[in-house]
Amino acid sequence: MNHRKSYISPWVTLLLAAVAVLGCVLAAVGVSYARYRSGTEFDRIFSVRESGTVLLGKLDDADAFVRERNAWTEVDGVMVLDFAISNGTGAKSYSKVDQQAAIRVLAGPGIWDETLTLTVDGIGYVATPTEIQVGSALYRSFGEGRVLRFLDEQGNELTWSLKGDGWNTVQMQLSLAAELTDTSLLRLQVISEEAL
Amino acid sequence: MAQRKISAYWLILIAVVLILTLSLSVGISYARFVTTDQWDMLVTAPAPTDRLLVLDAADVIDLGRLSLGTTSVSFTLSAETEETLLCGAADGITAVLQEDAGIYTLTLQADAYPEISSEILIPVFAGEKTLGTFRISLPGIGIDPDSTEVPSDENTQETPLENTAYFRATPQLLTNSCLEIDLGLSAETDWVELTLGEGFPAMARYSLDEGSSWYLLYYGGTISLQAQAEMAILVDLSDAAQPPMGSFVLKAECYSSQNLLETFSADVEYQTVALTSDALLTGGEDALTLEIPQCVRELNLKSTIEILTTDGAGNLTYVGAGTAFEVTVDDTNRFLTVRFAEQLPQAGTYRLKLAWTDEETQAHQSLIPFFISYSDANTGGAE
Repeated sequence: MNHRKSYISPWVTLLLAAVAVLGCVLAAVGVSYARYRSGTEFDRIFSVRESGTVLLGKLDDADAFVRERNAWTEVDGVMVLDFAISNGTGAKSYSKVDQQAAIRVLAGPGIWDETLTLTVDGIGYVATPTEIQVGSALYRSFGEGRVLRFLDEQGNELTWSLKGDGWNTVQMQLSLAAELTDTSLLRLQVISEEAL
Repeated sequence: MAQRKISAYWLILIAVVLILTLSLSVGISYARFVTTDQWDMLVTAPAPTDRLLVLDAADVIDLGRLSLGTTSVSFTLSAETEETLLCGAADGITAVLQEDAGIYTLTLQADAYPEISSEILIPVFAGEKTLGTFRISLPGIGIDPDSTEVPSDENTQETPLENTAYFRATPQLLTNSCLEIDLGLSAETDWVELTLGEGFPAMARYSLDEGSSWYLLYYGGTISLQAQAEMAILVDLSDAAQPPMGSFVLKAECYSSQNLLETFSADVEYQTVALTSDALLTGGEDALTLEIPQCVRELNLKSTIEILTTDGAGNLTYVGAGTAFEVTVDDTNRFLTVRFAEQLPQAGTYRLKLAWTDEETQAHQSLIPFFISYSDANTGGAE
């Protein structure tokens, strides 16, 4: 019998591998594209899930969230900042995505020996500092200094929930006791991810 | 046969397109978004006298320059002691130490400035053990009594206190806020007490020689001046602390020996912009403009820009920022502009150091902190 031997051509293997790699690349491109488009006004081509919204602000006299910043006050040598995070700017303008928000503070090199405490619902969390690595994205945007994160006992970053079932706000307070070189730069960040 | 091959290729191509489309679609649909918001803020240390200090034996706590009058500082001890605390005596000032529930208050009273600036150490001790030391400095009055002009008869006419306050605010960085006080005095006047009353902002400076030399007014207070027929006093609010606006009562009491001859007063309203309130540059801005104080415009200016960094030994230090900036002054010597050079400078904490010299003598110096940061929205706040 004249059996015809079946085999996979090296070219086909190469093609399949290339397709697999390209597929992964395109998936990554898709993620990046979706994140990018969440901040633009482009018409939708693919079905992209709604991106969350997280904002820094304060509570006004009527306890409503406004996108304004309180001034730092001083209490017994400790600087205090009352602020709030929210998932929108009003009862008709909020993100319907359930989010988990973390708070980070970047401190310039002129701030040292700092004790930074974040108080939420009467509970105080003391920040853990990490040096900003030279050459990192943070170094390029902020410069030399430290990142201060709020961690739980297992070392995981603490997050606070911003439910998408309505206009939700979490009130917070930062307390900073530190040595300072004249005037120094502090960056307060709220970073949210869609809840799993 | 050829037709079959073409069909197979089409099938493979369609399969590839489908796989790639599916990959793209899945990627988009399963993207988990990271959204951020951020504030850049400038924070300033509270003045030492405004906070409760902890005194340690190894400490020398600098309280800065004091103006005439009374200044208090509160502190606790790093280690408890049952002995009574005492403080060292100091020439030219009175120091009183009081204790209330473990919190000590050191009250310092300076009644007159020395002729030459002096630094004073005030040790705090219990028994023979020193628990810590405070350091203060008193600005020199800077007037040679021998050079005081003898008032002529032409100047015996009383002249009301003329308050010619003027304030200029630049929109960007520096408020050149000089308060000029002109005094015309009667011949009998030997000395004048100029009081910058309640509401006067801390960290202002005054000059008796049209800006050639300056003395710090820590918290307002009283300036004792030997009288001249005509006096011009400049009070510079450029470095003054908050609040950015307010009012204070300016009072001049003229004495002959210990006798009060006459009193003038004026209400002064002021408005300043905090020196560093706008000193934050982001990637979208590339220039700082500031107004040079009028009193130093005719002098030679040297400027340097330094960046705050940590050296190999872990010490904070300012080092030259290289060629990342260009500093220019306009033809009228009024506005100074700091621009980015061709390449964007590194993000970080900077200071602009300005030194004005008059025939090689440094007449005035300003240190202006500023900060450069760039948006890191695209980094998702990740390190």
